Amino acid sequence: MTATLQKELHDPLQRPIIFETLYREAFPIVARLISKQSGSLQDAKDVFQDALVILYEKTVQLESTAIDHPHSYLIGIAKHLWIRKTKNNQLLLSLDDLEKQIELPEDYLEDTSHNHLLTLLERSGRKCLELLSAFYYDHLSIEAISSQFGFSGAHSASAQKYKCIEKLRHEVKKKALHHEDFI
Amino acid sequence: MKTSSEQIKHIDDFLSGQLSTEDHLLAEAKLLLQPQFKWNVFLQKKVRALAIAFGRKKVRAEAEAIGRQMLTSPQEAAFQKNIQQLFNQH
Repeated sequence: MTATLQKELHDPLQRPIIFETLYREAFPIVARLISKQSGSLQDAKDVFQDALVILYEKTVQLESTAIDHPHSYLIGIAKHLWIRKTKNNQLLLSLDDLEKQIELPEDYLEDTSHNHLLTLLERSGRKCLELLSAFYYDHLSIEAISSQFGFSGAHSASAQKYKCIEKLRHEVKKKALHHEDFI
Repeated sequence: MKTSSEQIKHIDDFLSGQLSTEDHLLAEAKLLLQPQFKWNVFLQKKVRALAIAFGRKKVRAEAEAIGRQMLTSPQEAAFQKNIQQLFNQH
């Protein structure tokens, strides 16, 4: 099931359909939980959308074999995010055995250090960011990357990957001299 | 002497944990002894982190777009009413 879900989430045409189904099925449950704890609709939206991103990351990394029921897993992630956001005692929000096993990515909520540099690089190196995120974030296979980016084969995709790392390394070095958010 | 492309691949394999145990230990020693190597590893880690942040930003934007559609589109009025009721009760 996780492998099937991974394949569907990797497909840019399928992903919005999966997200919409999950929104329709699981958002009302998350919104109810948050409203009962005096959270706002905006809180519910933020938590749910972050939970969708984390579900995506865990699925494409095949990090958890427990994602047989993405709907339940998503609600579990949302509960953890809400507990973390409100520094809430877990006892106020009951977690079942599956939910207790969920771990949030350590860098998820604190991951703002790259914002400024990323905005700059999106202007000068967007194509390379697209390619490298397919490797490092989406964890696509080299064959899938070759096909998606129109390379003649795996060798050509790898060669472009290293050219892109070189280009972005150079850009980062240049920008590092001017921006304090570098480190 | 490695070419620039070979050096980049070597560091990429090091950061991905794909070097042999022996080569990994050698790379760790180079980190301590060669400031230029240490700097290049740092830059390459930064590039990976930026690529991940970029991917995450894109998926977050897709999730937000679905949320906007579900919570503002007239076609989803019944869904919106159910959600709104949850927050009107408090």
